[in-house]
Amino acid sequence: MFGRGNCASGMAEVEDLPTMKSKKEKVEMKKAEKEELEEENARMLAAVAFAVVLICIGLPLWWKTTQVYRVALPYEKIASLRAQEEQGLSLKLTLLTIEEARGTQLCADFDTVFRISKLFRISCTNRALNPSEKAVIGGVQNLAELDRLDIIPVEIGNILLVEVPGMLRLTQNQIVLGSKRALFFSSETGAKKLAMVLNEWLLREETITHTLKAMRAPTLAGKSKEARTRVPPTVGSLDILLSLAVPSPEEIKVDWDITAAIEDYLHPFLKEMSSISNFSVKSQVTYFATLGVRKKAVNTIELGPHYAIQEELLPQIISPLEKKIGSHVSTSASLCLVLYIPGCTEAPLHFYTKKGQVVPTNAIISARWGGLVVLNPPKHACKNDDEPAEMRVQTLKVMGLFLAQLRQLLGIPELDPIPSAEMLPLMEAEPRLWEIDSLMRTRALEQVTSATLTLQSLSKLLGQIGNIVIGDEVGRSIFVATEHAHRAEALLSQGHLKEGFDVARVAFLESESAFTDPSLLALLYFPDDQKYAVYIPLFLPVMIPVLMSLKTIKNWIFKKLGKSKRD
Amino acid sequence: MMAAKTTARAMGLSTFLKSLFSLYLFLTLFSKSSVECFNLDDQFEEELLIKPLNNDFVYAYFQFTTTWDVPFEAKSFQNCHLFPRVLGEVLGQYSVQELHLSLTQGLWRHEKYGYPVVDAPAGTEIWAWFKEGTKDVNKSWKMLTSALSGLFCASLNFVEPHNTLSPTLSFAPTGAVPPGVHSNSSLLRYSTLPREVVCTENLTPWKKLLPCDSKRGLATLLNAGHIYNTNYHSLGIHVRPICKDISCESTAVELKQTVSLVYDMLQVGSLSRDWSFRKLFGQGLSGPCPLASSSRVYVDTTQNGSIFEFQLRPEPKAVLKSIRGGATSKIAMYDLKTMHLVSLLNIAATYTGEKLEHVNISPVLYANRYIIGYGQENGGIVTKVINNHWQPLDIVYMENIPWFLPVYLHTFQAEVNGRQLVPHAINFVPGRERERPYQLEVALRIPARSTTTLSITFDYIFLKWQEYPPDANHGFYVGAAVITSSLPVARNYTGVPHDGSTLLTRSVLIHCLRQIFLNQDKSFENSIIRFCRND
Repeated sequence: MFGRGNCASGMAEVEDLPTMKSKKEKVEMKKAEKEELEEENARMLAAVAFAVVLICIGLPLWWKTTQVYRVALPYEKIASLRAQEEQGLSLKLTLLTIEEARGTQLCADFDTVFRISKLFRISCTNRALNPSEKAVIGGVQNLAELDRLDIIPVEIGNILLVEVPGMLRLTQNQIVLGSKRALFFSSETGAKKLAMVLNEWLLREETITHTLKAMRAPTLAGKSKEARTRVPPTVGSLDILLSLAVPSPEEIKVDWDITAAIEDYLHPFLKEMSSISNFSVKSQVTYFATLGVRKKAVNTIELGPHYAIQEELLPQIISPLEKKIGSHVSTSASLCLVLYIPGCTEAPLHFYTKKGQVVPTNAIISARWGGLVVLNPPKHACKNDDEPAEMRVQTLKVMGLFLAQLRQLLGIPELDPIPSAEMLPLMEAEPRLWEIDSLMRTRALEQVTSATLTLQSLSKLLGQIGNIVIGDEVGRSIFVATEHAHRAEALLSQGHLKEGFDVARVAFLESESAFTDPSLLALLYFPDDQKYAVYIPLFLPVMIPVLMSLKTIKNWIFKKLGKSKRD
Repeated sequence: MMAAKTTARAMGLSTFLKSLFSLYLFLTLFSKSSVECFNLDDQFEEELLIKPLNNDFVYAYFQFTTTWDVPFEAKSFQNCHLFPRVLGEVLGQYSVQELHLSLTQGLWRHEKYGYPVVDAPAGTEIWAWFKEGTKDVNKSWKMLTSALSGLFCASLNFVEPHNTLSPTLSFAPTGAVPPGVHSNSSLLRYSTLPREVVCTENLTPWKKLLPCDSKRGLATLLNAGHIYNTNYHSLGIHVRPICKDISCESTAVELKQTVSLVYDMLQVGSLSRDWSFRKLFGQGLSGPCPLASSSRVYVDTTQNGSIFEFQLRPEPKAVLKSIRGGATSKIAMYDLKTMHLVSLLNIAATYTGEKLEHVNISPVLYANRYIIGYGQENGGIVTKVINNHWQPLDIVYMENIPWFLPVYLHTFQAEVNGRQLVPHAINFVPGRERERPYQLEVALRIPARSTTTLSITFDYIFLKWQEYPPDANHGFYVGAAVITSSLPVARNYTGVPHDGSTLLTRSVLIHCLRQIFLNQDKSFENSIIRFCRND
């Protein structure tokens, strides 16, 4: 600008000079003009270059490098995961009757009864018992023998119903539920009764629907007893810790082979349950850990003088035991089973229910924590005060209680009795096959529902908050979980329980690992205003001259274009 | 969704009880015949050794030993009796062969105190041997230290590759080893955190590992209010496999939990040298731990009558003579299992006779260490190793220098009376910035009755601002150097006469003289601080 101004004043002076010189001057003037033009061109080109570099290279580069890394997610697929209730669960009933006509009739009846079921799609097939089967069934002497029969193989999740000719000689009841997947009934039994047993003992639709409802809206649905007791589905593997707590070893010397007890009772049970979850069993002995609650001295006729603890004080009771229960290695959930042998100063010890009744087994259970069994030392043990008295623990009794507790804690409920129907008693530590099927059904549904809920809330969250990084690992987990959840839905609705369960478990675990991945939290809090606070002082001083030069560049270009047109 | 309610609730019992009854009634049908009387194959012993030192110091050493006749493997630790399950689980999971951990405050002054039973440098020291065939030793080491960090509430999670060594000449396994393993130092990891302090939050979980907790037995004497009132305080955990018998065909597990305390009696109480349980620990002893197979208190009376004179009350039942390496020591023993205690046991020593000033019989081998030089380019570490023996001694000297103080091997010098000493072997692993420390091991024969000066110079690296430790006035801490030697005589040696569970007599006594510097030596601190300010 200044240069140009100087030139103009120079030109004004030039006009007054003699003509001789003026020619020369004119040439020089033209030359200067030309130089000036060239200079302007160069300047403008430089400005253009700056603008191009900044806008065409700088901006995209900045955009690219500051972009939050997000793997594309299957939002639509996640949204299309439906509630499993809509998909339904297929189940096959096989009826073996003495006469085929009765079977057909029963099947038709079942169809009408279960048609209203939202959750189950029951298909029923029937045939008549062939003579050899009739002979075998007719030859059994008692129910246990009947239970042991393998009449026809039944797949996991399906149920076999067998009409037993002359059932009255075996039992008074009309319906007997075995320990495998078979249900035996007498010829007098009606379809209504059978459907009732099927629904209340084997299928338990109401409980399952209730549990699923509670998962969807935890605050709305009231919690059933079963829902409270069950282990949360957030469990890939489970540690079971068996502790023997002896608060005063100087008085009582406890003799109990825990290793053998675990080997004989817990392992067979858990081996059967291993299709549901992975288990590991550990044991320990803790000394000098007392119950953290004050005991009341009571004297009753039945029990004599003893100490009483209210059952609802359990949370306080177990807190001193908790100190020695943790693990620094395992990340899986844990259940504790504690056998507590009170010392002489607090024995005998009995639990009381809320209603003021003595708990006869002296065993209490706490949902999701575990169970506590109190075994009082024999009276004579506390008389000798010099040497500690030996006390032999009856493994059978204690492990029986622990197994009963463990069944409840793992989700095998105690079923309400139904008149004129019976369940064959447990003869071994192993759970009944239909119990495992039922548990597997519940767990599969829970896991699919949980995975669906997790994925949907995660996709909503990720959709709403733009600057959460979605790493490859999280993306992969979400893809796998979505895919498996869809497959589980399909498998369950086709009646493949075991496969459906396994796939649902993968879906559940992957969805959990995606949801709890620490990388999701990495840049969660990086608000936009902070971004501007960083970028503006950095880029504004550079950008302003460039942006302003754009206008000059535009003018220059138009001028050039106009010039070339005039020429 | 994630809020799993953990509050325990008692459940409705009506149906439950019925089921319990039915279940265990039916279970009677399949009663399994298990072993009738089951044999406990573990043992617990507790020992306390009190040794009056010269110059009004008293050394109290607690040792709790759990031995367990099972193979040292993960499966064994699933069912624990006296052995702490939490620790066993950690050891099993990360395939540890041997573990030594010490948390220490203060400096053990070998020249004044003699040798301790277990040596430990100030701060935290941890070393572990892993099992042959461990897949990824570095990962296991990281996981192990993190788990122990949680277990003992110590900052062991700061053990990183950049402060971990794998010494080849020092730190041989102390337990039973399958043949050929101890030569493979790739299974050994060693690290120190000299800055780490030890306090009650470490003592509480440490006590929880004891079968009697702190409810009974000698552990009741460990009251935080008194044992932190000492000049030297060290907690230790030592786990190793040991031989079951002389033939050593199978191994057992040994866990040794130790506490070393050095009291300055003039500071503790009423300006007298007399000591008692009450004065040292604040209370008397109510009795032994009922789970212990032996529970004993020892008082070292070797120097009683020669350097000082004291009277023990109550009178000891027995005085043992322990002969080790040519040195005889007299030890008064109290067996708590056989004593009938009416009131709290308070073992007390009353000093009689003249107090002799400045009688100090130095141990056979000890060392001093200090920093020399100035500025950023002329730093140096000098270690003086003093041999009082009439024969030459073979030692292994190990330096553990952090990465931010690069040392130069060509500047290493070993000098005796102005004469250069040629090392038998030098093993030097140069450090890498932010990746690994400098490791120097030197095997030397130091001449009789001499002072050997070992020196090496270092630089100082510019650090990033985040790499400065908090509390700049502390300066930087550098891990202790370790001197390993087998001593020909056991002068000034301290040991429990009946050594817990050691079945094999050890033919070699290994002693580590460790000192830490920088936290004691003010001049170096200042120089380091100057470094910081210059940056």
